[in-house]
Amino acid sequence: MIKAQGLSFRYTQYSGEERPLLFSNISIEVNKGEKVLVLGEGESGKTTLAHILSSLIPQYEDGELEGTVLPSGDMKDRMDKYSLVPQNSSAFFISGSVEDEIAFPLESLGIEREEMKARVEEALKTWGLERLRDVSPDELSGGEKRRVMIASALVTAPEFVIYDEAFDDLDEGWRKKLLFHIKSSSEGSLVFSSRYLSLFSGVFTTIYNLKDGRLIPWDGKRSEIPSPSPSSTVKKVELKVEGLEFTQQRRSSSLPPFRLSVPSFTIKGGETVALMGHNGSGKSTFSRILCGLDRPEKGSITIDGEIRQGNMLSRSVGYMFQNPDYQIFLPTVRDELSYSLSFLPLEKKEKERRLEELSEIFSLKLDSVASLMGYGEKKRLQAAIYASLDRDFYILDELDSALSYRESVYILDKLRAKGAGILLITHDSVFASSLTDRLYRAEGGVISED
Amino acid sequence: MKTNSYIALSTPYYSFDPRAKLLFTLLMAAVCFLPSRWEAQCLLTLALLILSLSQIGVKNTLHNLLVILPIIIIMTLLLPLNGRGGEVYFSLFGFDLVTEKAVRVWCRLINRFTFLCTICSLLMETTKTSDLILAMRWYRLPYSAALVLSLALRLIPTFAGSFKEIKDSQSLRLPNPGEEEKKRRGYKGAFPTLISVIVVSVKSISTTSEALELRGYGREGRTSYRKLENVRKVFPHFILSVIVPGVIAFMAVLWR
Repeated sequence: MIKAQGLSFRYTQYSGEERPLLFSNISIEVNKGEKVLVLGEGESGKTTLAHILSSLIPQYEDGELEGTVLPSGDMKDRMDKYSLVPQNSSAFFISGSVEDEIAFPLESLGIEREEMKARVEEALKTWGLERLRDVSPDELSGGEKRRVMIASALVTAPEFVIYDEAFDDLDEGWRKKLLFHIKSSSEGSLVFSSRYLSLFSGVFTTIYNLKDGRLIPWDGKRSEIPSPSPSSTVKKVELKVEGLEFTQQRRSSSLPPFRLSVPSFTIKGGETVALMGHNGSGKSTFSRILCGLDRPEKGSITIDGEIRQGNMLSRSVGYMFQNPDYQIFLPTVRDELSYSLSFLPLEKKEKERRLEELSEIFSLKLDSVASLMGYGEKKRLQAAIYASLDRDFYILDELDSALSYRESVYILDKLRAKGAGILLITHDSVFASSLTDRLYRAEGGVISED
Repeated sequence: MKTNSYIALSTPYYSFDPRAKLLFTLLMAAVCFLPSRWEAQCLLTLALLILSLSQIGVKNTLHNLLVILPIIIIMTLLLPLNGRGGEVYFSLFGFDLVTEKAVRVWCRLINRFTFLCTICSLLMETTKTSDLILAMRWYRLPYSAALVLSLALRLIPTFAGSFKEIKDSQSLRLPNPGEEEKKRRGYKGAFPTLISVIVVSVKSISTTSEALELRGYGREGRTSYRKLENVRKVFPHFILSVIVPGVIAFMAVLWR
């Protein structure tokens, strides 16, 4: 079983004032076959708790931990019975290909080659990764990476699995598949999620809410999607894409290159448009092209009738990456926010005023160490960086992953406040339909209006 | 450590056994350090570049050279070209600025550096990481050392990948058209990127350790998912990997 009693935790603060207790005196127990869900908003401590229960904290992340955790000891010694699906898939890759990544834990367990082959094949098939077996992790989409993490956590047939925001990045079909696995398997499952998905109904035996440092039974109230605030102004700009074609070569495997085709796409200032589609269907590729990071082979992107590409496009379209770790690199929040402001011809006082204003709007502490921040906090920082730029358009790539509806809509409102056009990429159809005016779908590399 | 250098192609160097390829790489690296004429070293580097062009293509070979270009430029800037000896190529106000001997030393160093980087890139780009680890283990290297070496060899492409990601991300943060400060930023603009690459690299140490712990790294009795061909089947590969560097070394010494 997984059991924690009287847990209190505080991260080590390296500078400035002492960090508060993340949670205090919490207890949780998951027995074999039990399905437990822990809901909690950003920075409530879900990932920290998942890492404590997996013995990664305090071994690899510094902090003061009180209370008892069972089983204790190193994760490597009990990985035959316990597994963790980590929240940040990209950071947890070790091997050079999908197949080797899934085989790695089996090699550690000393399993015979023939059995390993059979188990890896089964895992590749179950999680739709057969054709991607030779592909390098850096050539996978967010959803594909997540499936590799799930496959390598489950390939050892563990008795207990901790899923840290494992439903994020997955499209609806794979979410159902994962939920079916959790429901039908004999494993004890502990799922951490930032919100209650409608698919969760009838799956979990116990549901908790991790809030204000305490773990309390869930009151059954599903979080509603707040209505977005109307923006006071609308930017009179229009972005048009016509006849766009793009080919992405795969370096690490002999798979045919990925081809993206967008016959027609438009978005205007003040509009919120959704883009939905299966994992690996080209949503993020399209986003990179729209903000000028990649160049299409054919077609045009115009803003108010003027052809834009490269640098001129990236200065008009803000792109909030799916994974904030790819966009936040500087030591502190102040450094991150100052970077963009440093390009503007502003007085020092005005820059400082804007920094204070941004930190207040997005509930950030300027001296916080960016690499120690929670996922939700990093997403807010990403949003604050773009809000400071006041772009005509923003692409929000899976804004709602690891965030509650309330937090997602708050960020959306702040970025829309000055009338920018928003392209919202999401796998949550309820979220998309309640916030957006129009919908585009990506299917098999073709993006078209629904 | 998510970057993999392997390029999926099917030229002859790919079918070369990883153990023989590793031996060939090490012996060729040793040949590169033999005392020989600088012209011989230039020819050797040229031959290796031709091998690279034929096996991984023009685009990938050029990419490898572009990656090391900044280091070559730094080496050139830091190396005085006016060492004593030989003909004076260029002088100003009585000071010898470029001399024959110094140019030869420069040429030798750049050659060796380009040679070593190209032969290592060729090994990494034509061999899967898992096969490379198996090859190192075949030479009796402990698994932990082989894994660390394979991670270390992937470090440069990973840093290059991080550098690109950070540059991309920072290019998205430039001001809207017409809003930028007129003053030129010059070299100061490169600092945030370099700091960021260092922060990302330091951060990756603990996450890689966590990932290894989760996957059971360090447990006793580890088995291997992949296996290499029987040595007897690929024996000619080993012969070739010894003969080619041997002949080159003999010719280089003879030409001295």
